[in-house]
Parts: sequence; structure tokens; C-alpha cells
Amino acid sequence: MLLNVNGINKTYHSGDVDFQALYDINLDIEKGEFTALCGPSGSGKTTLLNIIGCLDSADSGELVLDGISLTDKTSDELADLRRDYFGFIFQTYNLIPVLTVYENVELPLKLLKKHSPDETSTMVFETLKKVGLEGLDKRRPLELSGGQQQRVSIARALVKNPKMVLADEPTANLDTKTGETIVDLMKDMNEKEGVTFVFSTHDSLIMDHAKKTINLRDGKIAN
Amino acid sequence: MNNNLLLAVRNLLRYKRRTILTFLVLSFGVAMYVFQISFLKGFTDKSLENMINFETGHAKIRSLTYDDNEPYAVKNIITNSSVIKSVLKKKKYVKGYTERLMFIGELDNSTDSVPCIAVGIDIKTDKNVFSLTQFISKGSIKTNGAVIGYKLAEDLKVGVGDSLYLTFRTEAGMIDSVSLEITGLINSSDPKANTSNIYMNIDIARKILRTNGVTDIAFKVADYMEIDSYIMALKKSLAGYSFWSWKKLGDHMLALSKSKSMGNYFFVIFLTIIAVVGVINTMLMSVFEKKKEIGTLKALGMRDKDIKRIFLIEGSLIGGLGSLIGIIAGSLITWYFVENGLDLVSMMGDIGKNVGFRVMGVVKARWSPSSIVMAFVMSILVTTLASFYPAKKAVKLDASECLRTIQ
Ligand SMILES: Nc1ncnc2c1ncn2[C@@H]1O[C@H](COP(=O)(O)OP(=O)(O)O)[C@@H](O)[C@H]1O
Ligand SMILES: [Mg+2]
Repeated sequence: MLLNVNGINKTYHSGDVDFQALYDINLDIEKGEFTALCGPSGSGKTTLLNIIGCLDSADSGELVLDGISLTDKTSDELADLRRDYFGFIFQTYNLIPVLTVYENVELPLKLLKKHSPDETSTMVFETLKKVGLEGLDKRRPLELSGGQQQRVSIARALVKNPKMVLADEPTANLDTKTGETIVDLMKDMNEKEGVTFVFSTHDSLIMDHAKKTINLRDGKIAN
Repeated sequence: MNNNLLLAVRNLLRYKRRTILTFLVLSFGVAMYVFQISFLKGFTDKSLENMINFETGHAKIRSLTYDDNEPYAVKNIITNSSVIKSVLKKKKYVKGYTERLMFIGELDNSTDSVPCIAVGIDIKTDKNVFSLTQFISKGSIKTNGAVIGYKLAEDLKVGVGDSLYLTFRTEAGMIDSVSLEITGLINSSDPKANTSNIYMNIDIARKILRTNGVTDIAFKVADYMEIDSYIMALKKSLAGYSFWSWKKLGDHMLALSKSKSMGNYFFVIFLTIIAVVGVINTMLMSVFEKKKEIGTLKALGMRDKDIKRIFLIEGSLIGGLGSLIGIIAGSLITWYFVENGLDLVSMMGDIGKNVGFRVMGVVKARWSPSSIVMAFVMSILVTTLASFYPAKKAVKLDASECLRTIQ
């Protein structure tokens, strides 16, 4: 068991208004899964992914990652967990615009500080090749198409061989065709490299590619 | 390159216009500071040099009863100056000495009269302490007659060969008057020597005052900054006299310099506030524009202290580069005025003596390396400190909130 979500609740407070976004969420993620978190906009997909990815905290319940309970971690410990365990892919790509494609993909490795410069460069180029971006390493993100940018962000997520990749609506900003190639690429990585993927989507076309789906409705799992 | 530095540098280059604007404020401030300090130093140093070279030497020995409020009173006369001179002669650190007899009088060209300071000088030894005799431009100082400042001569409409009446009090207190032929004119870098003094052979001064004493014995030492310790040593052998170091005699000049530099400090404080506000503003904008990137960096596992560091580096780069540009610009302006000086005459007419300082004509700026270094260090310090608040704001932002922002 890679990840175990136990009775998670989350309520947002904005001003006087409280809004419960997640109700008693229980789920398990196994190593090598290719899972879609499905649900309409506002159903709590982002909230859940952020909690799984240690970017946000739940009000109650427990998260167990690789046997480690994530309750009561300091912000530095959470940062280290994100660095060591997760790759993130976002709907809006979120590449660092001042860095080149190469530098964007290199960044997670530089943060890890585990690899020599030579190793780092080999890993970056290999990953760029896997996602089909050979020769574009010197470009800036804004010089690329949306699909290419999302490939860079997939490369950035994969380069450090994370235990789990969390992708929040990775295709929502792309046209259908490009969206499908992106999901195919993710699936390819899942099958060839055994990378665990959990991605959210509200697009039924994309859901069809998943090996397992979790349906969220109004903050509740509705499978 | 280190992540933090790389991101900071690239971010600076990203908003070029804003970066340049913040740079300019800082550069302008630093440039003005460097330039003003050099000017003030030029004025102060030159004033003190004039005072030392034309009036005080490194120190003066006077009678014990000498009263600063009545500087030319007759009771101040020292009658046994040879005792002092023989002591000074024996001290190795005394590089030269001379005696002067100074008194006040009125100069009269038979239509107008002006007050003046009359100075009897020892023609043979005056140059051991003072540079006055180098600046007698027309004629020379002779055993008879007197030399006056060229400006004083212009005011009294007289020239070399003409005579003036000098009215004064003798040692006994009687008012007396003598006619003195002008044998030369002084055209020096010291406005006082040019405008208000009349110089004569000390023997003539003694004769007309009917005294055999002097008022001042001026001397120069090996290291003028150490004058106080030399005076301490001399006091042991010359207990019955008062000592007046250039520091004491020039304290009004130093006070003037201080008060002018206060004005400078206000200007610097004003600019510092603008720079601080500018940097905080620039950095806060930078933080809020980069919310999503901050969220992304957090998602990638960058720790808060590293994110903070990116902004601090960005701030100190603005400070460092901005002040470097300022120092270069300020130094170029300063360099011009160090080489060519500022022409006070063309700036304010006459001989430009009304600046409060004892300077005239063309005054050169002087380098003040310590101020330049200080400006540089302070700029970096101030901008880095100013970045602390925005940097703290950046790390306090919630990662998931940052990622939700639409940018
Ligand atoms: N910071 C917040 N404050 C208040 N409500 C929020 C906040 N973030 C999200 N929500 C609400 O929580 C619900 C779930 O949001 P989200 O997890 O973003 O859903 P999804 O990603 O499925 O669209 C939505 O109704 C949204 O309006
Ligand atoms: Mg969402």
C-alpha cells in the first residue's frame, strides 16, 4: 500500500461562511495505479489532491504515506515529503517562466541534491526524450505550445522517479486531441516505468483511459 | 548556479522596467551622496589647509592670558619669545617655527577706510611654517613698507608703490597712525589673505607698536593629526604659555562642515526612505505576481527558507547593483570635479568667498573612499532589510492557495 486515506474531512472558512469541501474520504492507492479522480467542477478534486500531496492539511482523519503517518509534520518536513515522494502536474502547467525547459526539469533534481551534475544532466535529457521534447531544452516555456508545456511539466514530475504523480486536471487547458496524447503519454509512463498516477478530470473522454476511477460528488466518494 | 540565485537573477531581468526604475532611484541617491561628500570634503580640507598654511600653522603658542574673545589685545604680547624658540629648536618633531605679531587696525586711502588685520612676519622664517610669501604676486615684502591682499588693494583702489595710512593702538594703548608704502600684492588661494590682511616685516610692526614682543609663535610638526600629543609633550617645557592646535583653531570650520553634512544626511535619509519604500513595493509586487510560482516551488519541495532567500537575494541584488551604478556615476562626476574643480567665481561672482568656507576661486572635490564603501554597504544592507517583509509574506502564503490563483 502506497497511500492510505482515512476519514478525511476538510472545511474551508472564508469570512463568516464555512464550506465543507470533503466528507469522510477513505481510499487506498496502490503502487503502479493509474487512477482517475472524477467529478464535476467544485466536487473537491483539487482539495483532495492537495491534501494527498501534502500541500494542504485535512481538518480530521489521517494520511499514511508509505507507512508514515502525515499527522503533525512541520512545514519543512512536508516540503521534504513533497520533494521526495511526489511529482505534480497542474492544469495550467505552472512552469517557471524565467527558467528554460532544461532548467525547469532540472529543478526537482537540484532540490533533491542526490545526483552529480553529470547524472543530473543525463536524467534531464533522458526524461525530455521520453516525453518527446528532444531539442527544445533551451526554449523558455512561453515559447512552447500548451501541449508542449504540459509535456515539460510531465518531465519535471517524472525526472526524479517519484513514488506518485499527482495531476490536477492535466488536460483541461488543452484541446481534446492534445489532451488525449497527454493522457496517453502518462499511461505510457505508467505502463513502461511503473509510475503511479492519480489524476483528476471532469472529462469523460479522459476518464476512459483510467484503469481505476474514483468518483467525487459534493465532497463525497460516490463509487 | 545555485537555484535561489538563479531564480533571483532571472526574476530581476524579467520585469526590466520596474527593476530599472528601482535601480535609478537608488543609483541617483548613491551618486548624489558620493558627489556631495566629495565636495564637502574638498571644501573642508581646503579651508583647513588655507587656515593652516596662512594663519595658524599646525599650532600656535601664545601668552597664558590670551583671550580668544579679544584676539588682538595688546596684553597678549609675549616678550621673551627666544625662550620658546630655543625649546622648539631642540624638538625633533618640530619641523619649523616662526613668530608673528598680529594686531588690528584701520587702513585708510584718504577717502575710505576699512578695518584690517595687520600681521608682522619674520621674513626669514615665515616660509618654514606658512606659504604666504610664495603668493606675493606683484613686488615683494621688504624691510620697509607692507604687502596687502590684491582684493583689499582693489577695494581701496591702490597698487604697488602707493601708500596707505594704518591706524592702530600701540602697546601702551595710544592711538597712532603711520603711512606704509605698498611693496607687493598677495594673490593666494586663501580668501582671508587676499581680502582682509596687511603683512609687514615684524621689525616694522614692533617699531610702530612700540613693543619688543610677539603675539604668536606658530610651528609645524611631523604628523599634524597627532598635534595634541606633541602639544602635551611641549607643555612640559613651556608651562607658562597657552597652546592652540589647528584642531582647536579650526573648530568653527569643522562645525560648519558638520552642519553642512547634516543637510547631506537628511538628504540621504530622505533618499533611503524612498529607496526602502521602492524596494518594498517592488518586492511586494514581485511576490504577488509570483504567487503561483511560489506555490509551484513549494509543491516541488522547496523549503520556506529557500523561497525567502530568493527574495532576499533579489533585494540585495537591487541594492548592490543599484548602488554600484550610483557609485560609478557619482565617481565620474566627482572625478571631473577632483580634476577640474568647481569654479566658485563663475558660479557666484566676485571671488566666490561667500560659501561659508575659507575657499575661493576654483575648489577641487576630494575623494572620500570610506564614504563610497559605506554607501555601497549601506545600500545592500538597507535593500536586503527592506526585502525581509516581502520575503516573509511570500513564505507565509499557503501553498494550495497560491496554486489556486489565476495568473
Ligand atoms: N479557499 C477556499 N475557500 C472557500 N471555499 C473553497 C476554497 N477553495 C475551494 N473552495 C470550495 O471547495 C469546493 C471544492 O473545490 P475544489 O477542490 O477546487 O473542487 P474541484 O477541484 O473539484 O473543482 C468548491 O465548492 C470550492 O468553491
Ligand atoms: Mg480543481
